[in-house]
Amino acid sequence: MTSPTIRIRGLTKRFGDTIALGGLDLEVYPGEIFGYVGRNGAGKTTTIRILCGILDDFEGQVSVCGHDVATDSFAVKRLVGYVPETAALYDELTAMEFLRFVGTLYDLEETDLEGRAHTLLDCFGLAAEADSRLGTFSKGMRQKVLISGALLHDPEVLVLDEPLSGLDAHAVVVVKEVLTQLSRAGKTIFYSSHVLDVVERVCNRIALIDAGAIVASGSFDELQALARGGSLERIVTDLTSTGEHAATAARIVAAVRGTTPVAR
Amino acid sequence: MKARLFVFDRFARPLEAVGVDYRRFRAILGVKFALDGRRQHGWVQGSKRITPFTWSLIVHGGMGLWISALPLAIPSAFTAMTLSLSVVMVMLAFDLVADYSALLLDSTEATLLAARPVTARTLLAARLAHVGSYLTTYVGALALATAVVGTLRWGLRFLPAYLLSLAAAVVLVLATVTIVYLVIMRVVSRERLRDAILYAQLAMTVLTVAAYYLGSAVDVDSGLRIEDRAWIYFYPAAWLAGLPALALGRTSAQFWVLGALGILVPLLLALIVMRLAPRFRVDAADPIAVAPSRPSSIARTLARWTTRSATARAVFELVWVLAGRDRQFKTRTYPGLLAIVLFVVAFALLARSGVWGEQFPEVYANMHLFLLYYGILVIPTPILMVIYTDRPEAGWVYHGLPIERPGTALIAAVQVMFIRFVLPVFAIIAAVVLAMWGPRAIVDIALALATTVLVTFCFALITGRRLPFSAPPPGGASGTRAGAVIGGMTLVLLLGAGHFLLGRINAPLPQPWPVIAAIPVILMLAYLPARACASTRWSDIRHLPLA
Repeated sequence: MTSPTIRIRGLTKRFGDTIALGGLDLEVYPGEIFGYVGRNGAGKTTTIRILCGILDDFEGQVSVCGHDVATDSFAVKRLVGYVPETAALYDELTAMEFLRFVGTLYDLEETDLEGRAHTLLDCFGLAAEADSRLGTFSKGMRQKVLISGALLHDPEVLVLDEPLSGLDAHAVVVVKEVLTQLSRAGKTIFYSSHVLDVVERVCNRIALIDAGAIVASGSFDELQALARGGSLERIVTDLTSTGEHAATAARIVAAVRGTTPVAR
Repeated sequence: MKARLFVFDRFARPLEAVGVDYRRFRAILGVKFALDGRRQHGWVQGSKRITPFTWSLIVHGGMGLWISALPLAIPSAFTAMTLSLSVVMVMLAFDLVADYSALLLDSTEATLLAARPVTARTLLAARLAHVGSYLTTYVGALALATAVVGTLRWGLRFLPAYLLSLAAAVVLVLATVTIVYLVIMRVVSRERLRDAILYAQLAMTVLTVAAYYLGSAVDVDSGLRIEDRAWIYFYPAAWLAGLPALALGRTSAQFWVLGALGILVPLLLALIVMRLAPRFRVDAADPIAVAPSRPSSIARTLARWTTRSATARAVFELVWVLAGRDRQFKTRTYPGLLAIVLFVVAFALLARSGVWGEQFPEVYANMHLFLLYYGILVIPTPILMVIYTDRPEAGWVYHGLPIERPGTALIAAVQVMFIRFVLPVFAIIAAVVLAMWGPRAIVDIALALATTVLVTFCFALITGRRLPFSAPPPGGASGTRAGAVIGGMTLVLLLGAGHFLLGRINAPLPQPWPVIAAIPVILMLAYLPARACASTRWSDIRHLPLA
């Protein structure tokens, strides 16, 4: 049997007295697009930061391609392509300069690096802006640069935190197709998002995290069987909320319109 | 914070009278003060270290002690106050141009406020009040000793007039600099605005240094009495000194005119600021479409020459490019560098004028050492400022990308700062020294260069091992620099004294061999902090933004 690319055993992460992750177990296999969904603050980004070797000081075992993240995060980082949740980039750099920086850190040869970077920017419709400063880019354009940076070194594992945020419809289709083709080529993709219909359509397997623990995982069909069927949005709602959406919305509208006392 | 807001509350009506929406003004100011406090304390992370702001107060207090000798040393109260207020205004101008311009032109709030119903006048008033409150605190530290000494010497009637002149000094400096910025915003296109502001800062630095020399060159032959000089009517510190002079009973027409100028000119400038305020742009410093930037071939070539690993090469190029473009870095670094060069050149010219050479030949013969070591003070500015940026979140790249040892990145950043800023400034000073003291100064220049390398790496350690362009600017003030300058000055003083003594030893070898022998020793010493920097691990790195 194929061994998992990502293996997480008993992962616990505390921030002071707060338990962000409580004994998480996960395995993701080569060629899988693994969807990771959950509400805000559930622990998705914390899991990703640990997986990429950014956060340390955790309990449990986490390995990527056989490398222990706790003891060899450098090796893990070399194998991972990472798109962070926030498109934070130095405004004063150009798109090309950012990709040069990233590619150099991945030890790409200069000519190879330039060629790949130009091609990626061209594919995302940014060829004309290659030498423009990132400060002048829209959120979607920055996201395209970040995705290019994550793909630049042909990583074994792609870890994506809200990768489609701000992208135009055309780019969304392109990125989804890229993910599908890379998974067919045997790459492992860890995909975290709130956009549930994309997760539903793109991912082979989905894990639902709530309050730092996996509450359900499996293929979309398996998750449907666990809940009352329907879309992934419906499944997530069934498994992680108390079903008070309408009441919450009514309270917000009432507060905004001044028809109920505002809490102080 | 509450105390400061309480003070501003007392001025609510006058502010409203000039068109400021006080409720919104207070809300903006409250957030600014709260953020300043959290940023400063964010750095110390619960430890007991002195905050950058406190360091700055200590430096200003130290300078204040020095100028408090003026009322005792100079018989004429007017002359003493003119000199004292000159120093206060120069310090204020440097604080404002080097540190607070970044606050005045802060763009981080643009996204928050641009879509809100806040007028440009209210926003500008809030920013000025924010900056002004810090300047007032610094003036307090600077003037405390003089206030005590002056009151003891001239009686209680001195104190209120002196405080009034200090308040006028704050308004005068703040309003002047603001008018310069507002005029620039009015006449310069948005594309050129950021460059224009930087040039204005550099020009103001030159003017400030020139004003200082005008003040310090108070004719030595005048018997330290300047009352009968015509230039005092054009010298702002003399206007302000007119106020305490009046309080001390010098009620001739001359002092009424000077005192009136001291009150009316700041008021007039403040009104002009409010008049121009609608021109203020909340997003003045925001990035805008600029012409495409060509890849820096210099950075690439130098990176290849000076670095050995891919990580070092990548960080070298990154830091080189950002140091040339990051507004935060440029506005806080370039004026300081220029000031040091100007001071050294001006001092050298003053020394050359003959007074020193004739009256104190021994001092003049060694004055080049003072200039070289004074120039070493340039080091802390770029080394300390390189860690700050307006976009600290972008520093996630260090954590998110494969960098095995952050020490490699630290050393690469130090190399950029050394090659791009420290070395050129040193070269200018060395050229001045060589031109004036001739070839015999070459050995001293060489030892001073070795010392520069040593001090550079020492300062790199002092920064607390933070990666380049990964931290938010310190709230309110870049007092970190002031704090490091105290430690650094002590180090430079000791090394300079050592150099001076070495130059007087003639056994076992005659001069210049003792100085030459010290060069490899200093370079070997420099290896120690350099190695400590290079071996920095991830666990040593403080305050790095996560992705």
